[in-house]
Amino acid sequence: MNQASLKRHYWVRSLILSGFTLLLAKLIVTERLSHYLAPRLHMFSYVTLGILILLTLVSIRQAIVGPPRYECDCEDAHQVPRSLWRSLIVYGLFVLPLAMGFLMPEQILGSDVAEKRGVTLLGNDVRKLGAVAGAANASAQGAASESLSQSGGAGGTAGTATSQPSGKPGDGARLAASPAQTQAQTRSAALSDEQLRQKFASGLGDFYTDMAVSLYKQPVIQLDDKVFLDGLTTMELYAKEFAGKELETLGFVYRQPDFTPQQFVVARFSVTCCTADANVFGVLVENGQGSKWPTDSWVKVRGKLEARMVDGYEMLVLKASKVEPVKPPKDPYVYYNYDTPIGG
Amino acid sequence: MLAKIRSFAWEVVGALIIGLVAVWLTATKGSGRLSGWQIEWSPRWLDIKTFFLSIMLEAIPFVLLGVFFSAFIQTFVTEEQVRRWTPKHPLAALPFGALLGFLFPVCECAIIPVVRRLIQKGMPLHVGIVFLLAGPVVNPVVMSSTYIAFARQPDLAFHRAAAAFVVAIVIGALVLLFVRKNPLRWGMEAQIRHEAAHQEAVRGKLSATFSHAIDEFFDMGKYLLFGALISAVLQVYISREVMVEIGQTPVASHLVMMGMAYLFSLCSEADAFIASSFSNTFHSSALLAFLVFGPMLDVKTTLMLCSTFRFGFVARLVGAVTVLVLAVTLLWPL
Repeated sequence: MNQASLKRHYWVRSLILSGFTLLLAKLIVTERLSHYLAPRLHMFSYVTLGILILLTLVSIRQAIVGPPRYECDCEDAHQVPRSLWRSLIVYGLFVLPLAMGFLMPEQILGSDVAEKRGVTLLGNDVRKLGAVAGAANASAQGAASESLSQSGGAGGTAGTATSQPSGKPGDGARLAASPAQTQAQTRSAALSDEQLRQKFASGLGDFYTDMAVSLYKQPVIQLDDKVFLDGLTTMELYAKEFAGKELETLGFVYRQPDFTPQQFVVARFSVTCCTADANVFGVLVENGQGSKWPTDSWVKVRGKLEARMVDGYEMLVLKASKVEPVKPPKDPYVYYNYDTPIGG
Repeated sequence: MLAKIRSFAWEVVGALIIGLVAVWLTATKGSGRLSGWQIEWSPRWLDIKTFFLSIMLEAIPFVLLGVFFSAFIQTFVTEEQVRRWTPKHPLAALPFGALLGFLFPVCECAIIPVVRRLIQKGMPLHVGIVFLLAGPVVNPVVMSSTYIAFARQPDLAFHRAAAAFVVAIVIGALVLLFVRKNPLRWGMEAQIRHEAAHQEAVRGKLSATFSHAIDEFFDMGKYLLFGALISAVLQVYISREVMVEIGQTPVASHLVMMGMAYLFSLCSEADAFIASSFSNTFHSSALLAFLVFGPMLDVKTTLMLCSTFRFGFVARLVGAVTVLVLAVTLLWPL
């Protein structure tokens, strides 16, 4: 490998490295980094930007000065591609993400990907959490679930009481505390904090109790970006209590072939580390003019939550009274608060 | 023979890339000046771009971390120290390698340059391989993220670490028993000697560390990028429902989950969250297969391994790990 061609390689490398540096800088400056990475990884990217700048400078120096003249017997060990063909492939691979990053517009993930991934609607995973926690608290809840089965039929699901004595541990505790609770939605405003805490007491830890209380106290529940995932989980756990509450949220419109024209899902992608690990969560919305809103458009919906029996358990559906188109938020993805006791 | 296959593979890859570029260029509709770029991109391509860049942006910091960490080992850890720390008895060295992740909590992108350096510094090959396989799973960072992702069944985090421990140790024993030929890639030894020569010539010079970091960035980078690209394309075109339909029997479900882990090329820190999204569809032992297999091997790391080890060795390693993970997770009491 002669000196001149080695220098050419170093120049190409310098260009590629500066391309990566610029791409990363562009993403950071335009605040588009969150289209690719979850906020908790942004710190790494800032450090990486610094290192890339350093590497670019070193590489340019190499290209100008030429390879270091060490006394070593290893001419062919330098890692540069040997043939032209190979160089094209290798450097092409590096140029590809740069070209994509600079030339292709940003697109936030939408229905196409959601369809491939499958959407977790209000009410899928969370039941399992309840069941597991229920088993763990079986002894503590023993008395409560007894009273549940006696008062059978008080709530929609209580009668169906599936394999578990108490599908949701919350049911038992709540019914024991105040049996006529389900009919008392309207009086809820009058409940004090302490009563609310009791209402949402369960074996799932304080986090969900706190969350449920803070959501429940709002006249119209604001399911915004910060609380989207945790709020969704919480409302699922306490589906019965939240039925009848007003809710406002936003997301993109997602549809499945088996939906009626009135139905669509207001969905969000949750990102853990990078966008490639995104999962889809959403609320099923029903609105008389549901078909008006194109798939993948962003909407803000407001309406009343309604509990419905699906496959023997309760699921919340949002009867939307108001749907309006909105712009997608700057950071289109939502995140779990990382210290919460539940993920994915 | 292998060299021929490899050069043939290069040509295929090249042809594929050129073909893709051609499709890409012709498939774009509309026209516009360069300044405007009014081209209508197919949304699928844009999704591929999003996935590709996000895997890349996520992995690059960790690859760099691994590169600098290996430079750090190169400069500050002597061969004598590595030999002294590694237990003398080959069997005692196996669990040592598997638990090294607690000392160096690196994920699967960062571990390859580190292991390469440690082997060069005199760590026995089988210990290096055990570390390579177990390190990205059996470490506190990954265990805690698994614990968080599986709040419903937190013991899965420990099952994951234990299963990975077992698989890595068995593979290490197999390597100890059966690998006689040096599996490092042809030219790798020359390169290592070369690097060492440079290091000695300019020991203490920061610029030498950086110029090697550049070498390694391009060396690992091409495999990383290629793996990320494949993974991005597959994620856009393969639907999970299809996977679920295939995975009806236990063996099939394990294979499907392992296949997904392999193709998705997720960071071992994040994959638990993906796995937990499957907890309604698959039994937890299939999730365990996903969690154990993914960090050990995926598209991206297989290609990166090829930068260090001979193709034949990598192929056999992939085969052995696949069979073992399948067997261990099928039999695992869960």
